[in-house]
Amino acid sequence: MQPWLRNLLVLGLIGFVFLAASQVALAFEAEDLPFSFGPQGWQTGLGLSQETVKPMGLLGYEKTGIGGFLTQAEGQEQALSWFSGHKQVILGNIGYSLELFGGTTGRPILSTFPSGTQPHVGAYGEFSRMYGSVGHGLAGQAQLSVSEVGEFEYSIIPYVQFTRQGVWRFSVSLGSSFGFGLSYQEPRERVKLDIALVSEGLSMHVLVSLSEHPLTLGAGLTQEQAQVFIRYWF
Amino acid sequence: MKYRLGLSAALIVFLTALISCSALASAEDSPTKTIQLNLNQPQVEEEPDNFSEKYQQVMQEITISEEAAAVVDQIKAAVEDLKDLAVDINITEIRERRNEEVVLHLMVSIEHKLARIEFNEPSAVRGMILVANQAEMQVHIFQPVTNVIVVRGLEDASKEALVALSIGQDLTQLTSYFDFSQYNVDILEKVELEGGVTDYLLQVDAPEEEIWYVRVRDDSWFPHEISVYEGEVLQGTMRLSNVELDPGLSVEEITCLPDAKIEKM
Repeated sequence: MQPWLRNLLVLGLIGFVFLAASQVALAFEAEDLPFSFGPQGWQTGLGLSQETVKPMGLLGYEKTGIGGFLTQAEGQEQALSWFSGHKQVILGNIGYSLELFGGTTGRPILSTFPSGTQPHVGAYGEFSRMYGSVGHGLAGQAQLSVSEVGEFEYSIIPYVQFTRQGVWRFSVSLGSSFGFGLSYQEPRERVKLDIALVSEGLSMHVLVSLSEHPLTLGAGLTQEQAQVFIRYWF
Repeated sequence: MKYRLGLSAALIVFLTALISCSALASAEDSPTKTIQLNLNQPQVEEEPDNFSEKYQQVMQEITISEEAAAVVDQIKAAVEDLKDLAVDINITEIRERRNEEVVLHLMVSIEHKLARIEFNEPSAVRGMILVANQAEMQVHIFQPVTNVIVVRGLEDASKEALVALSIGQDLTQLTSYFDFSQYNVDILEKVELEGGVTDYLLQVDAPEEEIWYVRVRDDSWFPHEISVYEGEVLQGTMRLSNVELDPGLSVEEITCLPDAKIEKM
């Protein structure tokens, strides 16, 4: 595929996601400046997000939103970007979500950990069912690389989840790669942790939100790279 | 009471109405403690109409024995004097040969204008906690599926409930849930229990061809079972157990929620 066509496709998808998902996106409600350091050196950029919430009955609601970020690495010609539109529906103890995304970096784990990859488009879906403090769910992700090779990747992730001093989730990843995962989320979501052991190796990510300051600190470690970042929300 | 719409629905609306009523005054505010609805509509002076006359006419047509009338009055008095209440509620609704069961724990403080529902069954709502604060006009709903506490306006939440239940047209009925004095009431059964307690089974001829069978004991005069029939067909049953009348609920007892992120809608 010609580079110009590839870029056009990515831009077209991003535009579609924005147009399809934005309902009243007159202004973005959350903006942030990410500063990160990783294998590509220092990266800076801008993140934007917009979300609307609509009640569904007394015990349910629906969230629709868009979001994304653009970062530029030091000494790199091309910027890294990732944009998505999502919808989440919660009805009692049942929740499901759908996300369409595209970009030139991988789907964020916990939050933004920019790592360059082939331009791609994809979809992520999740179904969750709780029974009080325990529950289970199924997540799935498919991703198509917008390149000459056109590589297709997918994963199906069943998981169990329970709440005890936070939310714990144990998952298995099936599909293009096989592995296990553990994630933890502190009750007020100030601390998030994700550990995954997949075919590519071990990866760990941690995210800490400072409640007194508009800052989020993150650190990620995979077999190939380590990364730290600060996001300043304004 | 619109049992046709479901006992569970009626209960939720009853709760919502309870805490929505700004006139659920404390004993200091009103010696008679009547329940009034504040529907956030501008108050207008009552226009003279023949409603009272018709009401009296209807009341005269009601036949009720002295004993039944005494029981009905006792039930009404028990509810009117309440400051707060804690009760386990089990609602079984029969829908097309299926029994749908809702189990919840209800705590209401009229004094603090607070209410709390903890859902235990069905599993689709198990673990959910709803706290309604009429003073702040807010509802806090703990959602286990996202481990988030959603905060909504009480007025909006009430509308959602009422719209869902399609009974917004006749809210005045909510005040008469345990007031059976406007219906024909018969005592079908009197059973002497241990400890000198008498258990009454009342038959209430409700409107729209509904018949309610109400069980109440004379130790509390708070109904502990209400079965609703439409003709010969059982529609559902609501059982009230572990009833605590005026247990002195604190604000903290009613409003405490799991430690979770708060999201305002």
